[in-house]
Amino acid sequence: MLIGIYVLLLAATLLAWSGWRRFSIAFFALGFIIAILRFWHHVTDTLNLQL
Amino acid sequence: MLNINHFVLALERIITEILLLGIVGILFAALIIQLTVPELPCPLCILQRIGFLCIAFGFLLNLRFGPRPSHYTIVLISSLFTSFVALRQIALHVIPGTGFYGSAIFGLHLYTWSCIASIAIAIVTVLLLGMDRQYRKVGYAPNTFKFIRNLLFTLVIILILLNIGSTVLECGFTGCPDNPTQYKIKV
Repeated sequence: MLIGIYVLLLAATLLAWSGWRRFSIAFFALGFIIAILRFWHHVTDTLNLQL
Repeated sequence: MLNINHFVLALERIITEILLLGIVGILFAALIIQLTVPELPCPLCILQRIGFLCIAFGFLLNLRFGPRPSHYTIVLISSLFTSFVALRQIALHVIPGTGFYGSAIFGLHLYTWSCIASIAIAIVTVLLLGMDRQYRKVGYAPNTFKFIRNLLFTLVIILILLNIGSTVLECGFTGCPDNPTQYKIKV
């Protein structure tokens, strides 16, 4: 999952450099959402929360 | 005669470039510490590195397409994310006796410095966001600026590739261990 986030960020950066602004932001957004989910998984996994 | 719009735009670009250089420096320092000490990054540490790369992405958009409030939104939300992850890691170790992760630099651990840096970037970005004149279209892009822009893009891409390599070596293509002590794939 972490590697996937990096790959999406790489794609976003390359697209931005090439001039594809909206596509780069779309790839960034996808990677960012996965990063949030990964962090949420870590928090709920380690704390054993009942939410 | 000084054009105030050009001045504000140049100021915004200089601050953006300085912040980007700072972020690049932070991430390269993390890689150097990983290789020299050596201390492998935990999953939260990797998430913080991702957070800084997301912040850098927002600033790169400013350099490439000109300053826009949406780009500052990306920077701010990424700074918030990075600070939350760092605060989570601080909370894990803040009580005396609960241990720590990694060595301290000038008395503070890397996750504490990460929290400080991301909040500082957020504060500077909020101030930058308020400079209204930077959003006026003035079409000012000297060749020196384009060289610096391309250099910063190159550095960020190199950093992403190095981090991909590091994560693959540390975790393979499975989940990363919570307290990594050695690389899963040995080169």
